[in-house]
Amino acid sequence: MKYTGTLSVTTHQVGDTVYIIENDVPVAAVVSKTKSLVDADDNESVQYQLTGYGAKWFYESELFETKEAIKTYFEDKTDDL
Amino acid sequence: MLIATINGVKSANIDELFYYYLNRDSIVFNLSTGAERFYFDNHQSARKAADQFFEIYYKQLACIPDNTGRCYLVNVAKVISSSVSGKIIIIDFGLITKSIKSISEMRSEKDNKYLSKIVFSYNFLSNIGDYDVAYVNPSGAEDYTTISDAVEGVDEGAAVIIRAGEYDESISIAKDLVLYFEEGSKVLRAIGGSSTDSTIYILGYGDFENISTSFSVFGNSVSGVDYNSDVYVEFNTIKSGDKGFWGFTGIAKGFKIIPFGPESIMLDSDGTVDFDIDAVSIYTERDNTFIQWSTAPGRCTIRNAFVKCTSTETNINSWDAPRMTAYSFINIRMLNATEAPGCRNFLNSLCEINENVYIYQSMFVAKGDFNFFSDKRLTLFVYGDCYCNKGANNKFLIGNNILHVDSELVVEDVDLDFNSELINTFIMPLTNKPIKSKYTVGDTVYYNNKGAITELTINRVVVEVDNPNNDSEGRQVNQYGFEEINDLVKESRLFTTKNSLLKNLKGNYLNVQQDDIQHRIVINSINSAVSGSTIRDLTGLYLIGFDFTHMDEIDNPDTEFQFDGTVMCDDTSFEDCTLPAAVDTKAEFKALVKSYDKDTTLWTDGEPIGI
Repeated sequence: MKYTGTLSVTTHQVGDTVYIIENDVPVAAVVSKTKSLVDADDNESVQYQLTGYGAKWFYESELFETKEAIKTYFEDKTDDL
Repeated sequence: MLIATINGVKSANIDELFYYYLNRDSIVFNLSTGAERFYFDNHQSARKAADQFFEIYYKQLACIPDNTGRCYLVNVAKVISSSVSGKIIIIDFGLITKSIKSISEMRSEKDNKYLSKIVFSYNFLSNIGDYDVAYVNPSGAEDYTTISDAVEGVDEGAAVIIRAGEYDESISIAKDLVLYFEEGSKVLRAIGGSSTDSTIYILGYGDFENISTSFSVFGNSVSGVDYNSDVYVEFNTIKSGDKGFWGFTGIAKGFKIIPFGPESIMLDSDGTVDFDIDAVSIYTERDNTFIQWSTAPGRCTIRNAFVKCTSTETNINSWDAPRMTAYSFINIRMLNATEAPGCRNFLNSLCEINENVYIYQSMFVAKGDFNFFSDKRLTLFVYGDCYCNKGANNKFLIGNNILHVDSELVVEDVDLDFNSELINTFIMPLTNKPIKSKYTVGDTVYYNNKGAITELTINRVVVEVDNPNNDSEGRQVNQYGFEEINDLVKESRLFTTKNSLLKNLKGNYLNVQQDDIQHRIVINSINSAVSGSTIRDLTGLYLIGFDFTHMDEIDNPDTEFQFDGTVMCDDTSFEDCTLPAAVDTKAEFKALVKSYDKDTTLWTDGEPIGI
């Protein structure tokens, strides 16, 4: 049984500008809300809401700190092929 | 029209368009072929492209805001019909139907009327066969040589087509009528009306150039005017010696207003005015771009306006005796280039009553002070992405007023071309969130489940962080899930012990109270008033927050604590208390005490005892 919770500080904070891929184009958006979920197996996941996208939740894997990070991500994916 | 986006030049075809709207750094075009989003570097670039598109096709675009501030530019060429149901405007495009929810039923009614007028105007020439038509041509080649003769000569409900040429005459309309001014037609005097309840359309591309000091369109300079007349005016340009409009009730849609006098658009009447102006570009070097002066309640809606004013006074004004009840600014850009400190840019109301000002997706830029000001009380409602700069003098003033921001208001420094880099103050960035929740997975908590105190074990934790107050703290909401309960439960409804929950529910019944004078704690009605407070059994009691400091007052016998008549503590520190000799493990302690806090109860090793 744990004494401390496993909640982690989210990678992107409310107010941060992040980039998402929409219709193959990098789009900047501001984080308006974060949701951290710790389940029974003690796994933690984080989702984000972005201004301009209503109540839609984005997974952390869908967000990038910079446009360059998106490019790196795709390059890595290409290298994996 | 070709539009340069960040991913190449794209074509936006008005013939395929149902409607479009600005969404931050993109424009969404809803076309016959489906929705398409064009992206730009920033919000201003997207707005500029949207404005350029509007400037070309303004005649057939109607701007309707929804309750979030989003402004829909509707292609009236595609509109089959429109109707209103409460706050909802329903637009039938044939292939699709679009519903737009307004902030109020009044707004939806006004916007639907505005839309229907533009639809009527757009389709007028196509439907001209439905009218008795007279033509005015100054050359004498057609029915009339003057507009006033035509207006006098035709029957109620007729249409008058005005050919190119100059018309230096006074025109007064007193019947239901459609006047259509072809390109190249120029009117050199005021148009007025004295009819009651007339429905009048002035359509086309007329240039109204009046160099007198009182240019009047349906104004009170005409005797007997009825402000209930239903008037719709379209124009190409208005060049006015004094005022663009005077005492006008109705809807105006045009392109350029060039006033020479102190008031660009003057609404001056002794009756109730309801003014709606759309798609205008106004440049003025004098005061008071928009103004209302009426002794009766009135409303003014301004859409799609670009206003540049270099006056030392106000852009928007209503003063003195007026009873203006509401201004609505919808998708406008307004610039006051005056640097003089102290000038009251934008809004200056000296009304004796409160005013409401509604701002949708608009941009206000002041080179000098930015000042929403009212001597009385002004209530601002801001919807959608609105931008206001602070001005050169760093004063952002909303004096004497109330500001409601329903979505976002950005206060920033932008230059006069609206294209400087944004200072993003949408949401103040937070740091190090979320913080640890009070409980975690596996913790046992107590919950009032429909009247029954239920022991539950947490199997999931959900923590949400946002920043509704746009401060450095943000807001964190912790919720917990359980196998036995479907819904998440907020932290405030959970308790560490059964007794703490019971105390929260039934505190008064437990007779737990503190007497601030005698420093007594009385629990379970066991109270020895003479010898002081008596506590018979502390088992299970939730004592967090109790103040024991008064026990230092040894001269006061009422501060004693007793257990079964035995003084437990009288000026004695609890640090001297020891556990019974039989207790030498955590398990034995927990079995004996039963109620403890896992975090704040320290074991002999100095660490929290835990669960």
